[in-house]
Amino acid sequence: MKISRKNEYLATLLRFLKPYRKRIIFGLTAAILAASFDAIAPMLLKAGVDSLQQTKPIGYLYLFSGLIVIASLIGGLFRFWMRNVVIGVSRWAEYDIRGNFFTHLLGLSPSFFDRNLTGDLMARATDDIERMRMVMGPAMLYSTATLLTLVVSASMMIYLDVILAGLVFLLVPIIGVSVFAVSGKLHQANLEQQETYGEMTAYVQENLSGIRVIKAFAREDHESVQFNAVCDLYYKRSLRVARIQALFMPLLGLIISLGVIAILYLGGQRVITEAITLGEFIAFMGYLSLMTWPMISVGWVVHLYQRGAASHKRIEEIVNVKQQFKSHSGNGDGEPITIAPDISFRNVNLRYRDQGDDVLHNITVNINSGERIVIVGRTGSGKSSLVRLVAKLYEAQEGTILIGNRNIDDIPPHELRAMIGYVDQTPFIFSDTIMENIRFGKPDATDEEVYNAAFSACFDEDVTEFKDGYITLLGERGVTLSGGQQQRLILSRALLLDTPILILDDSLSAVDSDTEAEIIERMSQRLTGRTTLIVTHRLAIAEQADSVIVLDEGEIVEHSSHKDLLGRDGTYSQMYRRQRLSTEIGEMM
Amino acid sequence: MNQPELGEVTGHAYDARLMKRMLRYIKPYRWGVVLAVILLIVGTGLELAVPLVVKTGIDNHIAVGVIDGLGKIALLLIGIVVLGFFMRYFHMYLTQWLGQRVVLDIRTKLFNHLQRQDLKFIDSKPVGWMMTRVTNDIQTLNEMFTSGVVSVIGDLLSLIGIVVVMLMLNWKLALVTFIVVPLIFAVVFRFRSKVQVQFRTIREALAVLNGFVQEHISGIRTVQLFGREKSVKEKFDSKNVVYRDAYIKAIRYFALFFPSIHILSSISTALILLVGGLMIGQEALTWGALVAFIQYAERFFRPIRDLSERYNIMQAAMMAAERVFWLFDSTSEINDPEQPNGLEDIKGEVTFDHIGFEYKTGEPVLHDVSLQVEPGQIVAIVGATGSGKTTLISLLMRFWDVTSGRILLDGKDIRSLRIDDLRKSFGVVLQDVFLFSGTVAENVTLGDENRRDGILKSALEQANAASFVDSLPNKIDERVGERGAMLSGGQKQLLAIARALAADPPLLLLDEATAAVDTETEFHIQEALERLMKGRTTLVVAHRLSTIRRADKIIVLHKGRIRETGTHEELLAENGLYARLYHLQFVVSV
Repeated sequence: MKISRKNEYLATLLRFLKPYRKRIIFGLTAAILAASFDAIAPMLLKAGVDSLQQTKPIGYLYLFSGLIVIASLIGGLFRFWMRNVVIGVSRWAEYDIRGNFFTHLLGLSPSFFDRNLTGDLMARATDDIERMRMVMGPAMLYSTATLLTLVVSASMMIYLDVILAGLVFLLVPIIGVSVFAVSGKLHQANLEQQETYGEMTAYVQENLSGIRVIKAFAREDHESVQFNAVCDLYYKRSLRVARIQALFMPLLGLIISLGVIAILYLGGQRVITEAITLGEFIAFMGYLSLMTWPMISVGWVVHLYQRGAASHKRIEEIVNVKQQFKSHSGNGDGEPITIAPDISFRNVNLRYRDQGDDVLHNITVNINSGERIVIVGRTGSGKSSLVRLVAKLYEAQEGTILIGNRNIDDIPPHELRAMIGYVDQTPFIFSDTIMENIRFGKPDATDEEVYNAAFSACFDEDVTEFKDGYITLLGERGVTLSGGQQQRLILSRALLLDTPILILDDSLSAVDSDTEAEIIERMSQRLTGRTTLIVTHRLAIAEQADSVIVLDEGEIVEHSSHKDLLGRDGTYSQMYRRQRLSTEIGEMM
Repeated sequence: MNQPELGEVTGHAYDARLMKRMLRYIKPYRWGVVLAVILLIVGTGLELAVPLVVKTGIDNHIAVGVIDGLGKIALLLIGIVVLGFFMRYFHMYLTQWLGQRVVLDIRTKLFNHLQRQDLKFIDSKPVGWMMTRVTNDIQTLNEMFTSGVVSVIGDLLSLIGIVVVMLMLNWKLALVTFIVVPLIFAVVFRFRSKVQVQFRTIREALAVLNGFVQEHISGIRTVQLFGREKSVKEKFDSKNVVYRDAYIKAIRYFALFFPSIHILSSISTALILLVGGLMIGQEALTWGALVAFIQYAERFFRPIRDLSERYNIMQAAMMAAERVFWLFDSTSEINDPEQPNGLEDIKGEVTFDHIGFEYKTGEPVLHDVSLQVEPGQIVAIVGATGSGKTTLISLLMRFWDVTSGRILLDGKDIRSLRIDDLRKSFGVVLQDVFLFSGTVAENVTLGDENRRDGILKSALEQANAASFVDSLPNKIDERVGERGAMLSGGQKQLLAIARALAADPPLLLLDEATAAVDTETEFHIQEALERLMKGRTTLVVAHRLSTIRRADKIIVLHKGRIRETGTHEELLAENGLYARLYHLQFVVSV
């Protein structure tokens, strides 16, 4: 289990590096050459020392010193290439990972975003991806450099003195064991630390978004206490990572130092017994010190690798969430549909949770082309769920939905979207101009088209009241619209598309009934021949509808024309009478 | 001081003013810092002693062929490195502890400071921007502690130590070794100036990228419904590319820098070999000293190489510190008075005394509004959107302060009261119901454990929320999702009423939701509101006729002025603005 997960991690890393394999091979070649040239220096040092001891002409000394500089110049050139290529590749791979992650998010279902906090997703998109990059960049660079330096130095050592080299290699299993022992712990500690970081981020985000409630109830102190608790946990978990790390690197340093001492002691004796020359001894020390930093950096690499594994897991958690649309077999290049299709539900059941109750139960209904349907019912009766199924914001567990006699699952997403204009309950406004916000679904729409859409949604007058008109900037750095204005803006956005099907999901709730009537009036001209589904609480709209669907507890209890239903003394007529009698005044002007 | 936005910060790696402020947070842990520095000095000393001992071993034993005593030297070395290991371990752990500790303090303090800012400030900043300050920026400060400041001190100590030891061993050879130092400075400075500029570009690119991702995660549904995934992906790509390429450019500088330092280090090794070799020939230098020199020279370059990395960390940390302290410097315009009036046994009398208010200078929202609310009265405020209704409520809660005039609670100016006392005396149901992502229970009690059992239950019942809460799989422990995404609009309103009931305040401020809900839920809400208003002084921005009729007094606001005051019947009889509004509404509504 543990191993397979690790393999997955490696496989992911390799998958993202694969497109750059040519560059990587180039980088690795440069790394090998750099390590080889670096390894020449101690040998040149040895040659220099030996020439001194054997009192050879001083010219040799100049030669060897000069060669040291030349070797380092050539080595430096390769080093430049190595770093440029390897770290560069890691940035490319990071770019790919982030692109993948974002693209995947774009295809996830609304219920996913109901469950996951934006702050946490942001932490994954930024921090975790950077941590994965650190594995593919610096960690890879240092581990390659370490490995190569070890191999080259080891061969040189064996060449110089097999016995002393054997002694040095005794260190390798000791280092291996300590790395292995520590890395598991480090992995767990890192995972927990990252989790808490996500929690912390999400906490801050939510607190600031809900600051009005916190202030209104004077809950600042309590919020501080709660936040302190999260921070405290983060502090403790960070310290756990710190403790392991603080032990690890010095420990590696210690092991290597002990190696140096052993060389000094045994190597020294071998110099004295003249088994090796002083020059060879110095070269040996040189190789050992060449190995020191790479060996210690093993600790760092392990840390990066484990940290990356924790982050990889967090990325995979998201990337493994199934995309919204089941694979479809329908062909994608059908003619664009301009005639409004029929919509029919056949024995449809919907649940939000696998174990939960049906939100919609046994829904069977036909909606004819060009009809205007109003859907009413109590809060929680399933009105919105019903229209969201048509827009495929949810997918039914049982039953089929046909649009123009095609199973909704066989209609490619882009085709479905081109067919349906859906106006949401909660408006989302981009921090962009009003113009661009309305044009969002059809970037090539002319200004005239935008004005017309705004007119139909009764939004045009509001816009003219802004100093900058349609180029007024909205959102975080711009103007804030009122709830009603927001709803009319997103209605304009949907109307602009002139889709054969239009769905209003309780989307005029913040608009007063006068304006609503006016909107319906203006839209009517636009909507002739289009199928319109309107979810609403205001029964006034129902009077003008072709038919009314009444839902109760997830089932259709009535479906007929307004007049017919009024005469029946059923749920609808009760609702209607109650609302008529009710003293609802709504917005006053 | 300007708001340090993107790249507007100077970008120095050291700023005395910021450092001084930072020191204030370190002060409580000064003994820890002292200990860390001691450990560092001892550790560095031990590390520097190793080549000297090795030198003795070579000169006294290996080079002259005396095996006797070599073992002792080996044992001495073992002692040194083992001791050095402990020093390093404790030092590393201690600095991590210090960093985390200080960061914990700053983070919680900043968070607390931030949420106590007035709304004028908070509304002017994107949530993501503030969030980044509390999380990322403070994380960066931590790095400054753990691998910045202390390590810089360590590096400097180490450099000084090496220079001194080398000069003592052989000053002539030492000076020869230092010939490359000016070159090092040249490389470091050139590198620094290049990288500094590039890193600014990178940070700007990152801010743009993150802003984009944040916005489009929030608005994902709109993107999906309009089938704009492809174009959003393309826009995202263009920002992702800018970020990547900015980094790729920086990599080149690093790729040049490290090998340059390496080459310089090799030059000095070659010089030591050459000049040292010549000296050995003249017996002016021992073999051991030569080896020690080579080892010291290597150590000499390591901190210089690391210095560039430390520089980056410090630079990033200083910018983070600048932004963090900028936030700390923002002072709320709405504060507790120095000597607050006590607020006990609240009667619930509210007086607006000739108040005027403007959000932006020169754009008044309310003019000369005077209003007297007697204890226990229900006062309904009606008027068109933008007439200033909600503003009245915000002013009473001191989300904003009046521009002129004063507001009194039980005869005391609300600015003379502690803000917490003032706000705790109101129960508030706002138009936009905000739910936290926690459980139903947490949302109603707002985390107050004392209210959890009896009060929570009765609040839910009185708010007519008990039945729907019971139908949730986990009942009161059901998580409601971000902003209550799992609940319907009506359910959210019921929970907001339950929240106010649980707080059990003497006064009530209602901003009735305009959003229409179905008739049955509407009845539930009205019934719950009825219970909530009972026995409390209530100020309500009203949209429901039932509420308005029930009110003891109706205020008609029009363009920021009170136009009419009276009961429903009185106002109808007056046949003025209210009557017109009422008839208009009644005819149109079903």
